[in-house]
Amino acid sequence: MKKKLVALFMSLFLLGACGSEKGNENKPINSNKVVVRITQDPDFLDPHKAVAAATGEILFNVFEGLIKIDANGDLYPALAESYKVSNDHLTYTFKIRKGVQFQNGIELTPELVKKSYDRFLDDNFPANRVATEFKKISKSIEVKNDNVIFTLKKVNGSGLAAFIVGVVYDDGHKIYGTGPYFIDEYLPGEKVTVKKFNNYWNINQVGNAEIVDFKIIKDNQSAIMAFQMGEVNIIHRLFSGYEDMIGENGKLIKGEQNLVQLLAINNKVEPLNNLKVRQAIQYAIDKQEIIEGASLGEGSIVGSACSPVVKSIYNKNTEHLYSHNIEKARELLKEAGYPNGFELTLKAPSNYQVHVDSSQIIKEQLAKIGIIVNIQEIEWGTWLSNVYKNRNYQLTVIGFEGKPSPYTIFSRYMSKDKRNMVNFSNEKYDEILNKISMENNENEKVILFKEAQNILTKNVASVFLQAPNYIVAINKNIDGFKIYPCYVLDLSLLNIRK
Amino acid sequence: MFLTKKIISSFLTLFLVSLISFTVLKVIPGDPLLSKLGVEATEQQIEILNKELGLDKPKHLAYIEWISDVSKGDMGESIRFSVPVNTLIKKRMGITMNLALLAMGITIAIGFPLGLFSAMINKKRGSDVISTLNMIGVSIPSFWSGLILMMVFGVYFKVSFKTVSLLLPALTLAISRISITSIYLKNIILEELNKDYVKAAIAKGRNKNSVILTDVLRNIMLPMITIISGLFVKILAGSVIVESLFNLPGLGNLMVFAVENRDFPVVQALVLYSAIIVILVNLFTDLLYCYVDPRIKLS
Repeated sequence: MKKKLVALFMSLFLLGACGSEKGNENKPINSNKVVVRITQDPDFLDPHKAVAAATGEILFNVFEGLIKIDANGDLYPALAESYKVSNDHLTYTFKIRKGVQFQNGIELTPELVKKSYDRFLDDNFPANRVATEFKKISKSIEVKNDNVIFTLKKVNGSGLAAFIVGVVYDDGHKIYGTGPYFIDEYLPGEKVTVKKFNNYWNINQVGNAEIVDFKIIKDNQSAIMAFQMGEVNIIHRLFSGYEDMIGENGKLIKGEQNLVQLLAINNKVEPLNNLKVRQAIQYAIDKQEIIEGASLGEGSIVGSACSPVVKSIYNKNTEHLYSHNIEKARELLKEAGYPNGFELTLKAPSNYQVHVDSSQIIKEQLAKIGIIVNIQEIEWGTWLSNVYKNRNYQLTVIGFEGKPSPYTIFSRYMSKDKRNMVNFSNEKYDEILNKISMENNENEKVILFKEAQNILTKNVASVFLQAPNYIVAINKNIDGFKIYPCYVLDLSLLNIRK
Repeated sequence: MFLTKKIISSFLTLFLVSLISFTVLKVIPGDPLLSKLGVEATEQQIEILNKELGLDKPKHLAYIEWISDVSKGDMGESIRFSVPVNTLIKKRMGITMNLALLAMGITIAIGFPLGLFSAMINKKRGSDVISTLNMIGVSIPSFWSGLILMMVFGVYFKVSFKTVSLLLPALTLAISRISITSIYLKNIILEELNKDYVKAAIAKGRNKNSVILTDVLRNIMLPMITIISGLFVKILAGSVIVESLFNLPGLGNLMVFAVENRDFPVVQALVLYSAIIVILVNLFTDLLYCYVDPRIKLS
């Protein structure tokens, strides 16, 4: 009997081991191909339509705008060789770089730049937010010699960042960019393969990764296993708690992230429409405990809607407007007419473990002041329609990623903005944001942004919790990975050591 | 007559499945466009795409349009991927079928001999060991056994996923099914052993094991066919979890993705195809019954 059992186990083992590859241990990467794990499919492989942040990570390498962003968050001319901005900030003149080719071999000209912008200015084009925002302010686009001149209807809050939008060549069937990589293959639900574009205008600055597979792996555990086996070389936006599992072939890169996790409060529903109630909640929340518990210490406290990584405008004072104080929270609740507390429902998006874990901690913290929180875990599709679109919720925990233009982050809280899911309404705030969009002076803009943050936090538009750290598990043979302050994965920086 | 009745009832079943799945998907919360575009979508973008994809039509009209397209073999276009649903499914069909057949092969190759052997040595220590192993096999959820297999073979023994591609997922799918098959087979053999013809044969001095291997096995052909046909359907259902775990681009993985993203045309097509597979398997099982035991008449 024993022999038979051993034979059974051996046959099972041999079945699995028959494909074993030798030498897998010491050479994790032996080609110029890199495999990057992504969690979801791109929504559109078109920079004028794409909305999902994760798509931006791929498209950054394929399409370039007149202006590009670097790892420090600074803007620099890319397809434009140089630019001039008129004193009234209404005319932007870009001198188009010569010797730039689209990935189909066609040379970039000022006319093609104009044609690319005209593409999304068409009313029947399903343009994304970046394109739509541009449409709102664009008055005319003219070509003069080597220059493209953009005239705006009004001063744009995004400034130069509006020209980050990718320039495309649309031949009616496929679109092409001018970036260092081109899309070679897209297998829905499986992977997106990009290849190095050898005629790229700045090819000398591109690393040696010839092929990059963006492999879609939803499950974190499976992704970690694939990383350990060498099937995946980069897992970026790794959740904390997985760091110890990356194995011998991996190294970790950590940094601050331009993403703010918040306890979103529906400002319109009772009793949360009462400022004192919101203030009580703000006082009762211990952000550090959430960072320790839900992000295992990998995060930093934020005071407002903007991550501290956006140093130029971040208002650090907002962190101290409400320090954790249970007694004060109880007093405020009493003043608001709820001495015994009340019940609330928190709808947590179940696919984001960090938000679910944070919700649990928030539940415990609010229980201390008598607010009973019932957590309802709902899946992402339902969250989007129920919570985000229909605003049918009291509390939720969510993360909003940063944008190259801070105005886009803050305009989300304007009374009439379609994205204002927290129903925050404050006249002064709207006024300041309008001023920002008209302001030419950068220093003045910073002052206004800081004031806007002050209003958001003081009025507890929501409780801004933390900026979770950006953690990347990367094969130790890959150098050059840099963390960007927006959703970007710059493949041109990668170098594989063999 | 039997076949005509069966075909008519199959079409009725398919119609009901299509109607129910269509209605359920329209009722559950979640907007496919929001799932596709996320929180940064513009109103204009949603509006244009809504029109483009025909999602703004009244539900009954949408159903009539969809079912008439389906009757022509056109399952529509995926909202999430903007490609024809049939193209998506065709690409993935091979992986899922290969996975299911391999898992079935492993299950039959191990489960049947194990059940038979366990029945032959019933009430001995070896049988208890097999029963215990079977209980463990049945209790282990496949996402867990899959992770353990990945860890053991992939991480410790460095087996490349590319070379064994379907073997580990198939083994994961097979583990619990091996146990179920083995338990079921053992039970029906033991039940058969209580019958008079077996008792008579043993009383006549024949060896019990030889009676099992000849007479009993022949007489339990019908339940064995039931096990095998049931296995195929269960394995297909199990592929949903296993494909997601091993990141195999098969139909199961596509189903999870399509449900999460409210990609209605894909979910509807997959539900319909699954129903067709179940109906065909059942029909084939019925026909096989008649072939194995001519006493069962088609009428």
